[in-house]
Amino acid sequence: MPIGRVFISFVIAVALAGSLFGTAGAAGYKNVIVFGVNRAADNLDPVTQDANPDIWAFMQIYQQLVRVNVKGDGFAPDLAERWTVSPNGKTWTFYLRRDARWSNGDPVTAADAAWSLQRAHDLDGPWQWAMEAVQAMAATDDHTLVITLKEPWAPFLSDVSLFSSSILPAKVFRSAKAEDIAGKPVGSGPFMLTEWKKGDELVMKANPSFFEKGRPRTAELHIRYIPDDNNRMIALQSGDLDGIDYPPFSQVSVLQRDPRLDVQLNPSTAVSHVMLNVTQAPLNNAKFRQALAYATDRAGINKGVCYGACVPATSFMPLTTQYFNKGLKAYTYDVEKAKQLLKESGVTTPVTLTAVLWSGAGDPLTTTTLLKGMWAQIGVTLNLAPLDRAAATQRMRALDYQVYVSGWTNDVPDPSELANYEFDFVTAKSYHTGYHSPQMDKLLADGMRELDPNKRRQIYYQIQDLAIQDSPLIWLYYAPYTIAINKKMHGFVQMATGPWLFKDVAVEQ
Amino acid sequence: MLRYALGRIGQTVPIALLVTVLIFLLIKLLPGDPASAILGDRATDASVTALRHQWGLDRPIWQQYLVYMHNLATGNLGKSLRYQSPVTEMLPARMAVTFFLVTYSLVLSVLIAVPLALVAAAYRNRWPDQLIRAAMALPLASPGFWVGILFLILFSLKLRWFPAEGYGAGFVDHVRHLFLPALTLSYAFAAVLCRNLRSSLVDVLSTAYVDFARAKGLRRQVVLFRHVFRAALLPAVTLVGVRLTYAIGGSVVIETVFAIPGLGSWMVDSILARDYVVVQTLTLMFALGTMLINLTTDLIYPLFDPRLRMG
Repeated sequence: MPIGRVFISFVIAVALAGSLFGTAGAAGYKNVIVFGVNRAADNLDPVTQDANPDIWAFMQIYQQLVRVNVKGDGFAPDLAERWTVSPNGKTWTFYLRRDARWSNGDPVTAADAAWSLQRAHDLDGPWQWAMEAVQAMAATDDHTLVITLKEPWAPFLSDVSLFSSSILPAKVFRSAKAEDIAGKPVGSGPFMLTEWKKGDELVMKANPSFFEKGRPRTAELHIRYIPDDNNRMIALQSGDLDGIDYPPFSQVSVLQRDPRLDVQLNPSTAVSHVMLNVTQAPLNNAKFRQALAYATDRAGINKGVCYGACVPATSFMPLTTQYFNKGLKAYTYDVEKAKQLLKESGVTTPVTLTAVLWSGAGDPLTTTTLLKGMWAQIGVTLNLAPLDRAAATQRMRALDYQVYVSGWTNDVPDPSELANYEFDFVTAKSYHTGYHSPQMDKLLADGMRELDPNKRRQIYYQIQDLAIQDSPLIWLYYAPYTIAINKKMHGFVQMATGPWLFKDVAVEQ
Repeated sequence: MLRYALGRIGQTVPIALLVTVLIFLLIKLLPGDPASAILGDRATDASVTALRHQWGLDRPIWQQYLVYMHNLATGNLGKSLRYQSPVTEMLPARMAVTFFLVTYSLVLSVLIAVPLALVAAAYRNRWPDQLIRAAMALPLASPGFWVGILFLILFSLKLRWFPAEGYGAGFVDHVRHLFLPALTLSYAFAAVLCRNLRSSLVDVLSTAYVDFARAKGLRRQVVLFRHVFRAALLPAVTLVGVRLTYAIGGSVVIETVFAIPGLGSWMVDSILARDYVVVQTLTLMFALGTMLINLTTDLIYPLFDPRLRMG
């Protein structure tokens, strides 16, 4: 049949045409890095956003005065080359580097920094707490910023390093509309946004004014949204992509067998946990919560969810957080003890609880399925209520749940961000559990104001002890960030706080 | 003919209005609030309330509907809640992608189905026919998202003929990028089309006028193409129309599997983010698209069947 012949030649022609395309660059390296991600960025305003895809994208574009180091346990200079603090701990002076420029060529000034931090201070958003201690900010000259605090504030450097404390060009954004800050970022970082196909791809080009000479090494960075895990992995293995984020744990060993790939399990600050609504019986009973915590086999969950790649959690804090207590007396898996605590609690079994979890996501489903089996041993029946993200979030915020599967990642090395979010009722109803303890409130307040590192350490050790005792959440495991990149990609770094660093990346052809 | 066409077009207006009401109510029935979905887990209650007010979500539903209809009537499709940019700005590019994909899949279906159906009908009940019929039963029983992954593994991973994701830039690149998704979308339909076309060809082949044409000495191919094929095409046209509407629905799954920035994947993302504005617009687009296809199918009939031209 002639039509059949036409079809076959068409297929061959298309296939041949396919092999003619590809990116070529000078000196054996590609001009473009193509990185596949599992969630798309929505909005690139540093002050208003709390989702990682947004943060990790604008972190390619914006700089802060100070940044968290790669390991996530200290600080390094960024736009400020040095800083001093007055003996009373209330006046911070930041000295900005003189060679920093916006991608439009204008110099970065202390006035820009003052305007940006003032905006972060004034705007009602998820990160407003970071600038809470600030009383006044002033640029004393083009390169000196002086910040006065209301009182000595231990985590201040952490707060300045937070992504929401990104420095924006005041001249460009002072009278800009919200959607321009969200959609047309102008920064001083290694890359600048040149095209944004929303829900598809962020196209970035090297910022010609970036202060570090010879960086970024690759002229273009494409961050491409590929929601399907299988597709993202196949696109990497077939060479369409240079790297991908979040290959699922179940596929890590499969990808590791591919000699062309480098599969990374990068240290993160992720803690997976279940939240318990402590405002309702029987979860308002601390002994009952302890019984659940003892009946939870964290090693089993690590095996079932992470295929052994995670670390069972001992504290609410991620391992790399300052003042993480290695010697903490944590929960063990002890069914007998759980049964005994359950008896002491006075709660009569059988008890039925319902867990709200995100549908469509594999890990929460596996976690709750495993928990169902574990808790059944002490007479607690766990029913699962998978809901889509928006519906689940609404239930969680309204405290209309009993058990909720969720997780946290730190944005700063200091423990105060997480400790306050998790146990301070005013900040977020103690991670939306409804937990409220005056003893905890006192410790949290002390932790913010104590400047002596040793005394501060003791405070956060006490917070960790009290958290274990009251257990409004059950901490399950610390998960690494999974990343898979082509071995031809060199210089890629993922920070422990999450963002990728692409400025040193070069991809062989 | 003109009256027939006008009548059909007139029927679509009330349906379109009904669709807008249904869409509006259905999405409001969904639990989950866009403001907290978009602001994220760490948002403060005050900022969620402020955003709901800014978007008018705290007003009564009928007021929200009137605002929506007023905007629609003035061509204002609103701003995506999630991206804060006008829907009309994002719509054309996305629409072009899905249109390309659906058309491409239709072309592939026809290219696969027609030759096979002709062969099967010409060799009725002999081995080529049996083979084609057996082979065409397989795609009907395999779901698209699964076959899509198999195609990816074979054509992208092993053979490296086609890219695994995306849309590409420029026509040739689009053809290359969309080949696998279009094939995934088309192969099950090709099977239906092939079986359908085969049986109508077989029916026509056994009519008296075909015997007559053969008897007067016309060559086999001439009879097949000039007399049989055209007559057998009418049921296939209906099928293509019905199927096109399915393809629009199928694009929702396929675009997500292949990471194609069309209307379907946008729809999925927008539903998950409770981006009401986008979901409303896209559902309306899908509904209008379906109605347009049905209308076109109805208007095409007379071209194939002269009896309908009288009506």
